[in-house]
Formats: sequence, C-alpha cells, structure tokens
Amino acid sequence: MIIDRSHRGWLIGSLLLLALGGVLYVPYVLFSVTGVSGGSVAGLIYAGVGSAMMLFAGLLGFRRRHRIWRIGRATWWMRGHLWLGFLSFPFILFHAGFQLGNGPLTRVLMVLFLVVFISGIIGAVLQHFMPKVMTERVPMETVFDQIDRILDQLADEAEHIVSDINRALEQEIDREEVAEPLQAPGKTGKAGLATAPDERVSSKMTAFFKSQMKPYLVSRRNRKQLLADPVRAAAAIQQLKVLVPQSLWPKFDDLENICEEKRQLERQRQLHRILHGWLLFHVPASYALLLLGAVHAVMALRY
Amino acid sequence: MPRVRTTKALAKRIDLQYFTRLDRFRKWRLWLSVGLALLGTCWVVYAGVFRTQSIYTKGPLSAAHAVLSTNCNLCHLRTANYRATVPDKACLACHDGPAHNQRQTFTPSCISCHAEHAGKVRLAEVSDSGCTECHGDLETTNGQHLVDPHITSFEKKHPEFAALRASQSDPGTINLNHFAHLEKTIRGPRDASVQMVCDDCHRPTNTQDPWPYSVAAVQPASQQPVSVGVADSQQRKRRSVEAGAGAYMASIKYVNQCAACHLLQFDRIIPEPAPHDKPEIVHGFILKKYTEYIAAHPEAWRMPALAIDDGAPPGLTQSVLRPTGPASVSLASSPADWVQQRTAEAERLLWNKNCKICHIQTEHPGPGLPQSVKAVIPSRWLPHSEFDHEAHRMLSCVACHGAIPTSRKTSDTNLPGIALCRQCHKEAGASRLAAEGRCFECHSYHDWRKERRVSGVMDIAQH
Repeated sequence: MIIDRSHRGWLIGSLLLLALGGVLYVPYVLFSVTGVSGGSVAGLIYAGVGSAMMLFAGLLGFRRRHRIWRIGRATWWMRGHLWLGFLSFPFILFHAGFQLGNGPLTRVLMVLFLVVFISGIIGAVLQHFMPKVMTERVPMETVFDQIDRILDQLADEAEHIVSDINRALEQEIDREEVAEPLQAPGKTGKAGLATAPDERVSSKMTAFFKSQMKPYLVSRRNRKQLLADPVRAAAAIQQLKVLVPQSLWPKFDDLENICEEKRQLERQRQLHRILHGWLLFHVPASYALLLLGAVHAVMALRY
Repeated sequence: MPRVRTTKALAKRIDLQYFTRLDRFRKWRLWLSVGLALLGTCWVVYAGVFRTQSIYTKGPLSAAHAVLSTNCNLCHLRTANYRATVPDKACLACHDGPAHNQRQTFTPSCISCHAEHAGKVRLAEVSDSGCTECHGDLETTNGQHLVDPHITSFEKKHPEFAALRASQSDPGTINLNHFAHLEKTIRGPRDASVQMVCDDCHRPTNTQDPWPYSVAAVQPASQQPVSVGVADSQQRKRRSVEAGAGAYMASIKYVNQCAACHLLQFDRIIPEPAPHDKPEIVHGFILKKYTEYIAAHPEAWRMPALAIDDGAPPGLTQSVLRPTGPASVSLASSPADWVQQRTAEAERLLWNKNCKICHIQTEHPGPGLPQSVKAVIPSRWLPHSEFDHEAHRMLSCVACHGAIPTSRKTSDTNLPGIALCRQCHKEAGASRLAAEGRCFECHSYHDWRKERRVSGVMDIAQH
C-alpha cells in the first residue's frame, strides 16, 4: 500500500494518540509507588488499548477472507492495520514499562511483537516503493501464481516457432532443389553451396533450442545460462538470424522476445519474494502473538 | 506475424481458477502460522500438565523468594472469584511485618510497597514515593506530629537531623573534653606520654582487638573487676534487619576506654583500685580492704599515719593519689578508729578528685555518701534511622566528625549534618555515580523491635 496523502487522517490521529499515551505515562512513572507495572491500573489500561489495536490489526486477515461483507472498504482496513498496528507497539511498551519481558511468556511475547513490528515496518516500506519498481522493471508482469504456467507456455511457444523456422527452411531447400536443373552447368556448384548451409542452419536451430532455449525457459535456477543475459542472448540469436532468409527474421525476434519475457518473469519472482517475503515472518508471528497474548492476559489478570 | 501480447491473449494464458489453490509461498505462510501457533499451544499445555506455572511469571522473584518460584500458589492465594492475588496473610505466614507507627492513618498492603517479580532486588529497597505518599503531607490519628510533616525528598526536602537542630545539645552527663584527649602529648598509663586517636575509644561493636586503655592495660587479670579487652556487643534489638554487627560504635565503658589512665587507686598500702561502681559499693570495698589490712598488720594503727599520697606503688601515677584538700593526718586511738580515719581520707580523695573529673555529683552536705548523676552517653544519636559505620570505613573519622579535634565541651554535638551526607548520597544512587540516597537507605518502615516470632507452616515438598 502506498502511503500518500490519503493517510493524513490516520497519521494525525495516531500521533495524537501516541502523544496522549506518552504524556500520561510520565505521571504514571513518577507517582507509582512500586514502579511501573503491567498489573497496575494504568498498566492494564495501556495493555487494553494496545491489545485492542493489535486485535484490530489482526482482523485484516479476517476481512480479506470475507471480501464481500459490507464492513468497510479494504483500503480503510489496510490503513487501520498499518497505523493501529504501528501504534500498538508503543502502547504495549508503556504497559511493560519499556522492558522486554522478564518472564518466559512475556519475553516470548515481546520477541514475537518485535518480529511482527519490525517485519511490518519493513513490509510497509516495501509496499510503498516496490510496486513502482515492479512496474518499471517488469512490464511483462503477470499473476505471480501463474508464472510457472506461463513459462511452460513460453517453452511451447518457442518450440512452435523453432518448428516453423525449420519447416520454412525445409521448404526453402526443396524450392532450391526444384530450381537447380534449370540453372546453367557452370552455376551448379554455386547452387549446391546454397543448399548445404540451409540444412546446417536447421540442425543448428534445433540444437540451439534443445541445448539453450528450452532448458532456460523451463528451469528456475538459470542466472548463469547464456540466455539469462540479454546482451549475450541477443548475440546468440543474431548469429542464427543471419543464416536464414530475411523473411524468417521476425520469428527470431519472437524468440528473443520470449527470452526477454522469461527474464522479466524471473525478475518478477525475485521482486515478489522481496515484496512479500516479510509476510512469512509477519503473519505467523502475528497469530502466535495473538494466541499467546490472550493466554498472557488471562493468566496475568488472575495473578 | 510478430508475437501478439494483447490483453485478451495474455488473459487466456492465465488459469482462471488459480486463486482457489495456494501457491508455494502461501503454503509456507500457512504452515508457519499453524506451526508457530501450535508450538505456542503445546508450550502452554505442557506448562498446564506439568504445573510449571513459572512461564506466566512477569519476572524472576527476589533472591529471598527465588526458591518459591515454581509454586505460585504459595503466595498467590485464590480467592472466591477467579483472581489469585497476594494478600498480606500470605506474607505474614512466613515473616512478621510490624506496624510502622501507632498513629498512622492507614496501613498499606505488603505488595503496595514491596514489588516482587522485579528480579534479584532487595524487597526492602522500596520506592521513595511509597514513603512520601504519607510523609509528604503527613496525617496522624491524633493530629500531632513528632516528625516534620512535609518530607518529600532526601536531597531537597528533608529536615536537619534532630540532634543538630537549634537548642539541641549532647545529653551526656559524663564530662569529656575531646580536644584535651586528642592533644599531641598527654599523660597515659604509667606516666607515659601518649597520642590518642579516635580508634582508641571508638570502635564498632564487632571489634575483637583489645582496647589499649582498658583496665587490662595496667592491671593483672586477677585484679580486674570485670571481663575486659573485647568490645562489648550491644544487646539491644536491632531496629532494622540491615544493621550489621559493625554498624554502631561500642558504648563507652570505664573499664574499656578509661581505666588505664583514670585509675581509682586510693592508697599505696592497698594495691587494688576501687571498683568503678556505686558509692556504697566503693565505700564497702574500701572499708573491707582497710579492715583486712589492719587484721594483717595489728600494729599499724599505732604508727603515725602517712599522708595518703606519700609515695605510690610502682606503676601508679602520683596524680591519682594526691587529694585535692589538705590531708588530715592524726594518730588513731584504736584499730577501728584507724580504719575509719583511713577510709574517710580515701573517700575524700576519690569523691573529690577521681570521680568528680568525669561524673556530675549531687551535693552531700552531711556525712552520707555522694550521689552521681546517672551516666548517660548516647549510643545512638539518630534513633529513627540506621547508620552503618562499617559501610563508611573508608572514610577517616574527622571526614565526617570534623569538629571533634577542637571540641572542648561535653555538650558539643559532634555529628555530621545532613548536608555532609548529601555530598555522597543521592536519590538516584549509582545511576548518578553516587551512594544510595533513597529513604530505605536510612529508614526502616517496619519497627523490627516489635517483631513477633512466626511459626512456619510450609514443608520441604511444597516449594
């Protein structure tokens, strides 16, 4: 989500709430007889506010599973998740007296909260900047889940193009052989030279596709392959291109385009990992935090 | 025909049901979420099954209570509802907490001052706000205040020590001139010149070294009236649990600090000095000694009596034998008369010279024995607070008691003032590179003199 002017209300509201919490924290520290304690009245109020914010932030996942429910726009929920989730951290710190937990459960909770908070910050920053990078660097972007499927289709498409080229070359060879008896006896040798390279080109094309192109299109770890480098790929295709009649050159452009799409989809995969990788920490830690936080609340209220 | 990348062509490449299946990335997210939540649940269940409640603690217990960490229910007593807080009776089951003051308007609960689960701290180290909550604007049940009712801070708002306030002086009734005792050369035991130092008379109660000016220094053990040589331990009950054996100075006693110089020798023919005791006992001792002497020397009463200061036994100073008035020497008419004359002479010497140097005596116009004002030497100057000399042993005596070398009057109160304490003791303590300055450093909430014995109720298996 891009953090723009539409977040202004949330930003101001969050800052005001944070300032209020901070201002009230000062007399709480100064006048508490036994020091700052999460179990004191003020500590419990901070815990309640912080927990409510965490719970709201956690409800984003629920909201996403029920997209058609009329419970506010998804962007509103996302902004709430972002700002209240951010704000819950200082409130829980007020609750804990800025200690990172001294008991086993409280320490685990604080570690989980740190993971959630830091990964959330990283995620927010990435979500703000990465989409633009994605648009610029991956114009052929597709649905991430479908990349493997698209790559298979690209391999098939490339195979078809290579077949078309080979077929066109064979037709060209046949046409050359039909025209040969009509030529003058002195030109026989020349006509024979013209036919020979076409057969080699066909086999070269097949070899190129089998050894370079198909492995590149179907494999996932291919950074060191020839076609992964756009300059070297263009040079390799150009070497084949000059061996065929000009009428077949658009086919080679298509092959080059397929390689480029493959490169972009790989780039998309990388950027997607960066853009969403933090969720592997953020989401599991959030669920564990909510679960253990509930246990902590129940047991702490008892003792 | 070049490759076509129209929206329609691109859309055809997509499996329209793709969103119904989880990709690898989402699968990982799901499994991690489930796994982590499951791990947490297992942990909680394990703690419940094996009763390791310590996972719920908000912090380690203090060192004194650490052994109880695994069983929360020892202190957290479950009430009728769900809660299991720590009532006062849970604390009082193991140790008494004597009341602070009879006139206090309310008694706070134990846990309102002693915050547990804060790590390896001493529970006595309570926050100042626990004290100033009341002492900042003190209210008592009878409306009377024996202490300043507005104390909010040691550094900024704490009155001067009571003993140093105007109109206060040393209540001691034993004449003492510190200046004279600390002069460079004074006459000591056996007429030797000595330079006394503070430590000769003032030592913590746990001192084992012999006193240099005790009676043991000048008399054989057989003639010593009481056991001497080791600092007597103060038997009074401590007010707080913090004060150690070396906290306070041993009380001043004649036999320990004075006897070597201020001998009570009264006659050269009687080698033993008079006991340092009540006049009746001294009188009885002298009478007994002369009676024994005349029994051993039947003809002595016929001889002209020598002035009582005529010659002194070796090792005794002349000064202690010289009476202040003219000696009335005359012939005795009988042994009993001799004993009577000799006793009167010895007592005149003792009452008017030896005793009077230190003791304030009431007038005794008749023939009766004189009476001395009861000796009062304060052993503790600040009865409402604790002080530990042992903790200050790195300081020289005069660093705090700076006026002692020039003090000539008994009434001089040679205590350091609160300003001097504040030079080292700050409320922020170690965080300001200073000594502890919070209330508990000197004051104890509980009056441990009133502590009652508690009979334990736990057994070994409970913790």
